Amino acid sequence: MGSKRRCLYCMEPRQEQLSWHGLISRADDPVCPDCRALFTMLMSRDCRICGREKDEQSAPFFQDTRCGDCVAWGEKDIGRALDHNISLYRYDKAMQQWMARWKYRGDPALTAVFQKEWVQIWRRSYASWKVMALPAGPGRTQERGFNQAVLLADMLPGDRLNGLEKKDEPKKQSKSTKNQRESLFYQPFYMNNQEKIRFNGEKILLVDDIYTTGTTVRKAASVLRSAGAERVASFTLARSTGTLSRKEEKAQ
Amino acid sequence: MSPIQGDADFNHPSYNEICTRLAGRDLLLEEIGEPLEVLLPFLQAGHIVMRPGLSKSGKGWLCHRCLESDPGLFAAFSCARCGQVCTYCRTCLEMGRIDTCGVLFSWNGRAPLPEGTASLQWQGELSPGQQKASNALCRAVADGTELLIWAVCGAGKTEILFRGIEDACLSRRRILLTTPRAEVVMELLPRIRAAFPGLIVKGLYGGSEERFGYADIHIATTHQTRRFRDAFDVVIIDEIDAFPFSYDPSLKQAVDKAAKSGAARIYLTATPSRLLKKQARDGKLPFIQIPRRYHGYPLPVPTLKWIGNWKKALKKDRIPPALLAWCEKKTSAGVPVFVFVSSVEQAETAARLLAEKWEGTIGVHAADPRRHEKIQLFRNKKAPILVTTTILERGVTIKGAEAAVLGAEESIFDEKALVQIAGRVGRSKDQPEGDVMYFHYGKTSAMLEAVRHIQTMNKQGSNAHGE
Repeated sequence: MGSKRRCLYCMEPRQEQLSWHGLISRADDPVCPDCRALFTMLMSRDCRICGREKDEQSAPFFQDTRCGDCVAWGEKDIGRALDHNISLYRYDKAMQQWMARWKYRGDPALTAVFQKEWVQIWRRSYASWKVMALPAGPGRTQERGFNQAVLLADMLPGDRLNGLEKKDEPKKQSKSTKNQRESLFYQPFYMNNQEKIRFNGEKILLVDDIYTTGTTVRKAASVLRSAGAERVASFTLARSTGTLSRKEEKAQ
Repeated sequence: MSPIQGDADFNHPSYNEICTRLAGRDLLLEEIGEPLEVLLPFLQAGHIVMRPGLSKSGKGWLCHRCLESDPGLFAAFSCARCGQVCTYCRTCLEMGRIDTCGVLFSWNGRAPLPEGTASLQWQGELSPGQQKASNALCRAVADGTELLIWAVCGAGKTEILFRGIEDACLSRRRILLTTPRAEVVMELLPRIRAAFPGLIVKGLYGGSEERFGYADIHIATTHQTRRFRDAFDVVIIDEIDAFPFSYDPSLKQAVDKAAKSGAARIYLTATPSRLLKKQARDGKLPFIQIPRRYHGYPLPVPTLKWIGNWKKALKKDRIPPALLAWCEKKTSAGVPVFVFVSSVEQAETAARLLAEKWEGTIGVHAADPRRHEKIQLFRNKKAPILVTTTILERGVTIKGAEAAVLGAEESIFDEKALVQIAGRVGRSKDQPEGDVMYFHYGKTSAMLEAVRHIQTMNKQGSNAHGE
């Protein structure tokens, strides 16, 4: 039996026929139009720093073009280690389900769902930056068989930057509360010093799957900055919007 | 290392426990719940065997758990575990990834000892049609043969199974009762348990908690049968014609894999596919027909009603007046109302509009995470109207309910679906009648065939009556 062309996500055989609709939709899309429509791209960069959307919840804490979180980050050294973040998609229900299958069920083939948009953004704005995948702890990578940040980074052409490592954390991040996660005293990242790597004057694009509070990427960025990097930005697939900063939490 | 089968000297404190967990299964190490060190002596003695999760087959791959072989359903990635490019199966990914560096474990030791006692506690009486089918079933179980039971909706299929299940358990045979839909598993589970309080009955469906361990009877969705291998002496497939079983050949293979060779196979349906009907007529598949409901009353014959362009009406947030009037008549008489629609979007719109008039109306569809909870609300009469996609067309019994189809001309409502929907109505002895309404914007042959199907069954049923 010959293999049918299937949607990469719902895996149903593709039935789209050549039509007016087909001309305006993408003929080369690995997913069907129904699945494509599930995901919401972030169009406006309401917060200039992290890309957070200005919505009912976050609007009162915005100061000009910075969200409450990023205002607070600006007061801390580690906060300033990250130049900015760019995220492609809203971390809504559909994105959560996609991530659950991609990352937790372990379906690495799904990375290609977002390849086109992902590469496009990189080409448009970051082609001169050095790409680095946010490292995962060795235990976690073994458990899953892959590091999801590496999957994302590997879609981008060019060389990868190495040298940063991460210790295994005692708890799974997605299960711990924000306060534990945000403890700024715990630094899981370190430089693989045997190689005496320096990043003098480099612009580094740090790739990860989700930006939530930005703590993780800032911890990584601060190590990279100490190793000489001039600027560090993070490039993430999804921007989680449900999280509250401490100030917002208090306000509720 | 040669496996020493039936090694009488092999004595391990965890023998029985591991045997009951693993016998008849295909499991990943994570699923066994024991570290490899514990399994090692069993492996050395040949009581546990390992096989690769995937292997090369021709130009492509074969998954040894779900038997998928379509090259389009495999993918490769650079694996951090083995440092090489691993291929994995995407068809059964939900059950834990099977990849080229993974291994499946299965049991090769002594068969597990049955733990329950088979004594049927059901006190009811079988209708003549049920009795005939029950006898045929017992013969098929004893002889290890195939049997198609073609019984109208509401014929009382579950009761037909009781004697055959008892016979099988008394002769220490393991039983699989499988159906394509989780809803049907959940309906069957309490009824089988109540009939056989002495047996261990486990229900397996996505998200159920009783996944592992021994059971005398497993009631499982066809998806879940993928975790079994050479496990069952009797395999009963309920609703054999239902999606996705009939559309997904890998599920049929999974059921075949779960059965022992020479197992009895019983197929139950109210609406057999053309192929099954042909096999039955050509004498290739033994079959028995029950055209009469257990309570002896005929099936309600559907009424066709033209309602104009209902899609346009929905777009303007309007429910067609004929449907509204019918709902009004039914709900005011306290009748639970099913409204079947052809898409998730319609389910949501219609439920919202009907809820404006009848508070508590709910909509449900296959991808709805709260669907089980919502069906329970309807069952408990907390919701006057349940708007649903075709997921509830079969297996679900709501006492006294009546049914309408909004847009019966849609292609998803084929003859089988329409017959099944009609089968939701008049199932109880106290309320054997009720409306089945096909509201449409143009008659289709499926609608006419469904009516003819029901009329034919009713005619056959009245001829057979008093037999």
